[in-house]
Amino acid sequence: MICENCKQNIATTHYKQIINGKAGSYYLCGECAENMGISSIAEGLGFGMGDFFAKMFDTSAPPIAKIQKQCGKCKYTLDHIKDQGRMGCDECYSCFEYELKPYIKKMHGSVKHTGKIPKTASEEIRKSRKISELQEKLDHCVSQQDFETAAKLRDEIKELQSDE
Amino acid sequence: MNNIAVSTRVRFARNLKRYPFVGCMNLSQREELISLVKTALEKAAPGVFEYYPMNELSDIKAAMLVEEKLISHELDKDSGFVAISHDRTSSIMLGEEDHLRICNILPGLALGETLSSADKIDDILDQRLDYAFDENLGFLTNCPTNLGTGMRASVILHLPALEKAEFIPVITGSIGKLGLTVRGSYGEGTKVSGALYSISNQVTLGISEIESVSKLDTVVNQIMEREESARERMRKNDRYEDEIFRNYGIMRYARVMPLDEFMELSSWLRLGAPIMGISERDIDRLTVMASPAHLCGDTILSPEEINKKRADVVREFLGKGKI
Repeated sequence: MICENCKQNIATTHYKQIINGKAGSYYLCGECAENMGISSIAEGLGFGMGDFFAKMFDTSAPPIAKIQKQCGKCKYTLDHIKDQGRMGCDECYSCFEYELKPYIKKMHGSVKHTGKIPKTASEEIRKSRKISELQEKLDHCVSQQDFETAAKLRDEIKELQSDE
Repeated sequence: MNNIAVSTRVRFARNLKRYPFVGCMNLSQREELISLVKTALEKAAPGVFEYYPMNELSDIKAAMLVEEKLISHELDKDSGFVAISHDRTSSIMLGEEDHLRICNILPGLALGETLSSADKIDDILDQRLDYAFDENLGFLTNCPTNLGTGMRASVILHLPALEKAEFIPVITGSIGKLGLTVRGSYGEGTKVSGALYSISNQVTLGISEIESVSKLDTVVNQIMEREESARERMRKNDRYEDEIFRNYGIMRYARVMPLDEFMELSSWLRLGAPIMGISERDIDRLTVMASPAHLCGDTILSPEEINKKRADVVREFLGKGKI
C-alpha cells in the first residue's frame, strides 16, 4: 500500500485516531509518520502518551492537521488553506467541502449561488437553476393564493424534472 | 448631486478549470494563460486592447497604471500581465489574486452601464475559456470571499460634509449589515484621503449581480442625499465660500505641495466646483496628474522634488484656464 500522505513511498505504519467519537485510519510511510511526530508508533519504542494527546488536542498542533487529506489536483492540505486563507485550485472546494462550508456560510450567509452561469456550464446546471427559479415563483403564488398560476408552474417543474 | 459620485468600478474574478490557482501555477502555465486570453480578446475584439507584460514595465510605469486604477498593487511584477482598452475604461489583469480580474471603470455614478460593459468582456472570454464554476458556489475563486458572482462593484464618493459631521462611522456601521462596506478610494487596505470613500458590496454568494448592484445603487443614492443635505448646512455658514476660495488660493500659488495636502485642497476644490464652474472630470484628471508616479514620468525624483513638481503642475493647470 502507498503512503496516503506523500503518495510515493510504501506505507509501513497503520495509524488510527479517534477525535470526538469519529474514527480515522491512515496508512503512512516511515518518513511521513516521523514528520508527523508519530514515528514512535512505527518503531514501537518510547512512545509517550502524554505528548501524543497534547498534540492531538492542541488545535494548532501539526500532527492532526498534517494527516488531513490532500487535494488531488494541487496537493494542498487544509493546513495550506488555513495558513494562506486561499485555495490551491478549484478542486479544493470539493475536496474540503465539509470543512469549508461552515466558513463560507458564515462569510456570505448563503451557500447557494444565484447569479450568472457561464455559457460553458452543463445543461444539467441550467435546468436545475430553472427549476429552483420556478419553485420560488410557485412558493410565492401559493402564499398569494394564486393557485391557478401555481398549478401551471408545478406542471412546468414536473416537465423539466421528467426530462432529467 | 452629480459632483458627489466620482467614479464607478465593477470587477469580476474568474479562474480557468484547466490550471491550479495563481499561487500554484508554474511559469509555463502562466505563459499559456496569457497567450489564451490574448488570443481570445484579439479574436473577439481586435485592436481594442493594449497588452502589457508587467516584467517589461518600469516600476514608475506600473505605478502610473495603479494611479489610474487600471491595475492593483497585487498584480505580480514578474509574471503579471494586463490588457487595457484604448479608451482606458477596461482592464483585464492576469496573475493578480485570480487568473483573471476583469475591471471596468466609468466616471460618476454609472453602476448599470459599468456592469454591462464588464459583463460583455466576461461573455467574450467565457465563450473561449472554460471557467471554474460550481452550481452551488458559483465562480470558484482563490479566496472564498469572492465566491458566487466573483463581482465587486464599487462607487467612489466624495463625502467632505459627512466626514466633517463625523457621520462616516455611522454609515460604515449601518451598511455593513447590508453586506456592503466602506474603504479607502484605492480599495481594500488603502487609507482614506481627500474625503474620497469607496462603497462596495462585500457579499458575493447568494445574491445575483443585478440584485447586488441595485442594492449598492440604493444605498449610494441615500448616502449622496445625506451628503447633499450636510453640504446645504455647510453652505449656510458665512465662512463656507471664504474657505473654498482660500484653499483655491493655496493651490493656485503654492510652491511645494505634499500629496496629503493636495488631497485635502483638491477636496475643497471639488466642493467648490459648482461655484467656480469647474468640471469634476478636470479635477479627476488633475488628481491623476498630481500622483507621484505621473509626476516622475521617466525620471526618478526625490520626495522633495515630487512635492515641488506637484505644486508646479497644479499651478499651471489652474492658471492656464484649463479649469
